[in-house]
Amino acid sequence: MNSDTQRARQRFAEVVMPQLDGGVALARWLSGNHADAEDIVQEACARAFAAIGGYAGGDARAWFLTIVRNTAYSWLARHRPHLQLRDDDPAAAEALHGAVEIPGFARQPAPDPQAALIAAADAQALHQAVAELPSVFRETLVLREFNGLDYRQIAELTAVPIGTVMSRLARARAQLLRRLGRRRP
Amino acid sequence: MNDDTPRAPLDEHDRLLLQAELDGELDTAGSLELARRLAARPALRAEAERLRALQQALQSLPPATASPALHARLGEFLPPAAPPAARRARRQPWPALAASAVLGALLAGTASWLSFAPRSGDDWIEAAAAGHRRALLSQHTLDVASSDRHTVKPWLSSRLGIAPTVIDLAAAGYPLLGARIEVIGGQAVPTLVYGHREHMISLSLRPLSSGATDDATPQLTPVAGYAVLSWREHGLAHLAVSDIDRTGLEDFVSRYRAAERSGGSGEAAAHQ
Repeated sequence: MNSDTQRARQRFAEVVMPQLDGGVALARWLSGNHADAEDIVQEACARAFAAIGGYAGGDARAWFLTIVRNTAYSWLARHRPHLQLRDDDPAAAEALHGAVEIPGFARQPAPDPQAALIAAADAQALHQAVAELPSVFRETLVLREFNGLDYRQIAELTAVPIGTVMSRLARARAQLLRRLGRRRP
Repeated sequence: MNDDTPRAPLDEHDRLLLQAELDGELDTAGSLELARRLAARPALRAEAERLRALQQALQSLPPATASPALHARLGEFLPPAAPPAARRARRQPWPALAASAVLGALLAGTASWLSFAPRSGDDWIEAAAAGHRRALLSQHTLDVASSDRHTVKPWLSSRLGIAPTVIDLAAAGYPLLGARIEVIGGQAVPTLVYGHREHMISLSLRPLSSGATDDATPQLTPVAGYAVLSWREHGLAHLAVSDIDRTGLEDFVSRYRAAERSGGSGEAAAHQ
């Protein structure tokens, strides 16, 4: 093995491997299943390895997750074309700056029984509620809650203004609260 | 422009403000503004409660992790195996090599979960010891690696909404290595990680439920070969776990508490 390859491998181990689980988590939520997620992450790792020489330091997590996200969309377009644009009305997705009005929900007085219901939601219900979010909302929520990125990083990664990140997050959470705060029959 | 009467309906600005607080994105001025509004408006407090409950529920979902099979498939990108001693000496505690990662994942995924899951009695102490052991076995000791407490604290704060006082004890021989998040009893718990020679000390911090009283005398509980010292102070339950001997752990705890007392314990309060 020549020394360039050796250096690249060493760098990959240091930069990418700590982010591997986070990459799988993101790909898992974007693709909807674990097996696809690992195929996506493997491909993302190949791209990261090829690009590792150009990685100039900085936030390794955001760097790798950007690669995972881009790989996920191209992989899904190739292998799961039916998933593309499945659930998004682009107009609704982008017209996010208006008020988030939630009838009958916002004006409830505290103390709050819905908070208790949400806290008691089981993993499967939570999982399903997140999976059913429109994909731009889901992506933003996942990058925040499961990958731990801050608003600025999410804005850079998804190439939208910070205001849009905040609106998407608010929408995602409002939809989850509506779903999970409802008493199931 | 802002209506802070008790019955004012929530608007977009309120929600974004609440959310920014939840995500650790508010500066001091924003936090003060929010605190003032929360005090005046019950509906806002209720929404804050719901958002907090949602975030905690989401973050307590089991995280997706790379399978051993994926680790094995990445071998072509990884350096050839080095002797274990060399790995241990590396500054980064991550499983850098496919073989060790596969072993770590197997151990973390199966055996340790079964053997060290909390049983009865003091579940918290056992769970903290299990988390420490799991971290060692999987070599995933840190979620954030930093010796800078000004990095560790905001990292924890932004994820958990809890900003524990992060104390560096490097001068006393216990350098801060970073932190990780343990899930104990369905609750995400900030855990600071300190080094001491070849050993590691995990310190988990959990806000006390209302009504619980401080008990500042550290109690020693040995669990499966680890010493656990627990005490309650400044509104937090503290659980220190390590494989160093009892005297060593007691030394760490007394230095930590002394530093905590002199270093602004007001920061130890949970946001919620």
